[in-house]
Amino acid sequence: MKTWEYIVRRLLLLIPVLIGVTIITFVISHVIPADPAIAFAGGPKAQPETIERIREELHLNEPLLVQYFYYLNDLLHLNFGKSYLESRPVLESITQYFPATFELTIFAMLISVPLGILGGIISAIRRNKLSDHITRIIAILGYSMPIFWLALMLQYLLAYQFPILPLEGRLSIGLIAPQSITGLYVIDSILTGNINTLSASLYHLILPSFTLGFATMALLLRMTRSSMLEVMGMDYVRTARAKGLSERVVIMKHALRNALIPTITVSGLQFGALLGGAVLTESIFNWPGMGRFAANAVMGLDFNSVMGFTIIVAIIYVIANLIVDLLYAVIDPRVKLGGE
Amino acid sequence: MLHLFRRSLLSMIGLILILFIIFIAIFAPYLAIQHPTYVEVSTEQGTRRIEERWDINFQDKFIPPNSEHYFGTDDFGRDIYSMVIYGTQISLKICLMVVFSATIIGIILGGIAGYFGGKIDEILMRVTDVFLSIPYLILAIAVAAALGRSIENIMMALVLVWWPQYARLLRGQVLSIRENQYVEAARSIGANNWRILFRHVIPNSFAPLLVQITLDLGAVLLVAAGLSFIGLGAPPGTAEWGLMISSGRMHMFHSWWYATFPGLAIVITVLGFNLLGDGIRDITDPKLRR
Amino acid sequence: MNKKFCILAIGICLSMTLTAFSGCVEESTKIELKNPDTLVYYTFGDAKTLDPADAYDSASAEGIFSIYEGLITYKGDDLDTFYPSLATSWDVSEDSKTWTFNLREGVKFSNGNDFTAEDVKYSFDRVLTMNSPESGVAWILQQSMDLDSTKIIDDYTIEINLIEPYGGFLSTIAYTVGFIVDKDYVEEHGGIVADTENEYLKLNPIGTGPYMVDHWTRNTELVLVQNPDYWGGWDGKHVKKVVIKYANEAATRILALKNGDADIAVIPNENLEDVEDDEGIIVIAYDSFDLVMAEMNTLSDNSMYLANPEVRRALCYAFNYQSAIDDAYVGYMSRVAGAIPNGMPYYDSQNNGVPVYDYDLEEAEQILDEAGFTLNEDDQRFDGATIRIFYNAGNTERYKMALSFQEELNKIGILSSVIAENWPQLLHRMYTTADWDLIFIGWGPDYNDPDDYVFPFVASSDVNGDTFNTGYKNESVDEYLLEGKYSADPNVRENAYKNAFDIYIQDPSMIYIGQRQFIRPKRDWVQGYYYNPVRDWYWYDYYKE
Repeated sequence: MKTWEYIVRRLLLLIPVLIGVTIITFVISHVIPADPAIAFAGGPKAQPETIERIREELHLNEPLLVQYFYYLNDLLHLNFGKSYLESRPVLESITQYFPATFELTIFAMLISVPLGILGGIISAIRRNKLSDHITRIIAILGYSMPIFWLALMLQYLLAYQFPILPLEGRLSIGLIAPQSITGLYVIDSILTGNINTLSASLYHLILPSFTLGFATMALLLRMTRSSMLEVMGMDYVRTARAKGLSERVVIMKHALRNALIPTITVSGLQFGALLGGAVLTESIFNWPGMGRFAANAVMGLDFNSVMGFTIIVAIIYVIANLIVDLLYAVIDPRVKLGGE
Repeated sequence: MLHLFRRSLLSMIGLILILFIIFIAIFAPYLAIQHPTYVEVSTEQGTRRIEERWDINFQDKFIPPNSEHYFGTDDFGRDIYSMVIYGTQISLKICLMVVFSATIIGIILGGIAGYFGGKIDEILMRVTDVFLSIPYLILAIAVAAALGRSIENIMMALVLVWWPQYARLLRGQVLSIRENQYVEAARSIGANNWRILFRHVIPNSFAPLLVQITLDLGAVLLVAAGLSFIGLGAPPGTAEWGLMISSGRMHMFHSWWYATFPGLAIVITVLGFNLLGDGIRDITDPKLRR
Repeated sequence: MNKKFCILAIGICLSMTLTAFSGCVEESTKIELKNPDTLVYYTFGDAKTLDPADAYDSASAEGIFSIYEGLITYKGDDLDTFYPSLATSWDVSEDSKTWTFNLREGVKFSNGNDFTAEDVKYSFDRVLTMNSPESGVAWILQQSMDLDSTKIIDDYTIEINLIEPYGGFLSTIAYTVGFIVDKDYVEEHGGIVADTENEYLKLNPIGTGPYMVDHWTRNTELVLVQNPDYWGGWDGKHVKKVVIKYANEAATRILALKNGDADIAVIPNENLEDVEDDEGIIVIAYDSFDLVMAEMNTLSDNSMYLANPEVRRALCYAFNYQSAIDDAYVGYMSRVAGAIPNGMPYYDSQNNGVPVYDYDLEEAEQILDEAGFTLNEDDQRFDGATIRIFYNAGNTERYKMALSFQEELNKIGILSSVIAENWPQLLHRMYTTADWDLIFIGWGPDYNDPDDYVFPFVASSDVNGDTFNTGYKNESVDEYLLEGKYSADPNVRENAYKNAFDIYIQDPSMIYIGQRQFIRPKRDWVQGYYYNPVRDWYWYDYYKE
């Protein structure tokens, strides 16, 4: 099968999955015995006409099935409905918040993937030596720690007791965000040559992205270590070594390439975990991203926002997995695309 | 089995930690200083429900850890040490119930899908696709938000999120085992499908399943605590660790102990499960046993 | 695997714990004044809109009060006198129906357009036509005005003919809904569409006020900068820039205030102790009109016990008011006699301002016994039926009151259950079901009149009262309250409210717990700060030094 055929096939397979996702989100957000109309119209001070109008707008008076088809129809027109918490279209909210989350997850990946792989390699090469033990303990702790607790502890220690890192947000107070080109402050700052915002946004990224990436780093470290150990025991690596190639060449050329395959798969899958973790991390660091938006929407029972967020995340997640599968094929030519 | 554990110190530590936690859970009434009362109340649906109650004593609030209150007290003057101790019961209950139920559902559905194949398999796998296309924490949050705050509801939400992984795992196992010679042999002597499924296929999937279960116990605990932390899980007043961290967060600046100790309890328990899971994997996976 | 590994593992665990413990080490550092020209206010939520025609939440008002202006305004913490703003003087006809306003000349909107009478008529008509589709705030003007009310006499004179004389008229146009927009600007950007919000105006306000929007990043920050053409001028001390930061986590706001990032911050009562001892942080409590109550469902699905007034009276005696004040609100609350808050007219009509109910469990038990609700063999009243107490999840003060009320009820043999629900869920329960017994609620002022309190609380739904859906109905009370609402004679009103009170307090539908104080801790370098309950913030008056 050719690559593009495979991509098309995978994209087509997305359709039933996404329909399923809309059904799930729709059902769970409509079993809640809550009346968003009253809340959005101002709670106890709401005027009856306003409540009724909002109810009409949300089609709350229709049967569930009809409501669902209204929703699907809107989705096909790229209309996620209106967020009543923010009184604007959900798509607009998500468009605003997405870059912040994207920047955070990218930096979490930039911290966790190299550190995880490097740690794994060191751990494998120096098996049962001191550095192996230290890295392994960090790894085990990493995926045993609740991310919100880690975030709290780090925030408390590094932003309050020993205030060396900023407490919250993306930029220092008084700084104006760089002109929005990509929405990622770091990239925008570089593009517009604004050193102040560049350093400030990097400075603000340290704590949240480290927290978010910590568990991923731990997982990758463990993965890399065990697959390195496995690969290093295989015949072809032994052969390479027997041929008299230097240890460095053996590791870099032969062992690493093969050991990295499972690691890459896991990194791709971890993207989903990071988006989940963002809901907890962003709330704590007041990071103005999709995660914080989702947490607010869930607590405010903002139907449209919750559904919009979940669908967007599902799309991102599925596409990330597709990219991983393709990368997999590039790294390991033995993998045939679509060969199930 | 035990001698294998002995070879791996880390999994030994894991086992000890878990036994320690189970011990605390069982003997909580003897270890704790303060004790909750359990009151039966009627609910919306007219059914009765048991509620956990802790005595309030505002005079004793925010006492730092001392010889009387080992972990200090919280904003209601409740003894955090006792709450952490009783929290083990809730946490273990959540982990075990969720993973157990998810496993059962996964075994049944995954087994059927893998064994019979065809349309059933196709449909079931598409359904799991849908569930797995949403990051599990996000799905759990959405479901828990819809169900409302109670321990039972988070368990339900987590089961709903967790079963597809087991269905997938079991289906894969079944597919590989189905082609094995002994299954062929059983089939040729006329054993019926269910017999083959339960007698041959499932027992042979036991090892990977066990590893997955142990690791998931920790993962479930983390997600459940996360749900409680953002205010979706345990009802207020419960000695649930995530909830305690959540309330402690507001008082971090003057009462660091409030959020710290429940967090350490989570770390220790999850660490135990993870070490144990790693250990079981090392033991059952011959490739790694070197 | 070897021993070294083990020792290491334990070592790392230990050191982590120690790091956590090191939290108890306090250190004090002197916080320096940061950015003297920028005032930073940390709050929660987000403004929903910056369009005065559709804003009804306090977060929106925090911006709008300084961006737009009305014809008249308040000054400082004085909430009884109106001062000139866009109008320089005004007059009212004999029959109190026709108001004439002389407008200020030479005022420019921040886009350079001139302010004239056209803009005034346009703004009022806009509110009436647009009908505030998202908030419902338009009722405030609609109760006394229609599209024919506003007449342009000349460029700088305007006449308003009210539908009916209304004593509160001036206070309604001093609220944000009566603020003036630029006609040409609105017409350029969508104009007026009946029953439809103007998305452009929501985000891009142009007013005559001292500040204008620099940028508004939703849910993150609203930044205001000086309007250089402000007619009031920039003599004296003012800040150049106002940053309103939205942080939903209280911990974030506390930290920001402590380390000097925030100049003023919203801090929950129970966290005030975190900041009040800090050098350089000032905590002042101002009297507000915010009431805290527990409403009782007189038509509860769950148990008909609460339908009995004696049971409700007993519950009023079983509530520990002092504990609510001291433990839940950390002292920043005072008791209130009835539905009218202290400081509003006719407060003393309520038993001379003395609460009728005090915490008295014996009295409560006696009332219950006499009403026939005695203890059963399990020492429980109501045969073990559960009184369900609800509060909105996340509100820790109400949570504390709920838990301690549960304990008090337990002492007199009443079984209860405390349930937290998200706000929309709780509203749904309150309005569309009778499936609740007791809900903790609060109320703040729309305008400075007792009618805004007592009427929605205790008047029945037949006369459009009963905002909290308690199901309470007493025809005499309704009559007195209607009399109080429409009379202009203070004596008649006083009497009406007194008569109503004497009836409803003996047949209570609410436990009147207390009246909160308004607290916004600030750094000591914030000057010119005051509190006005009907206009929370006016950034022009504050400066840093």
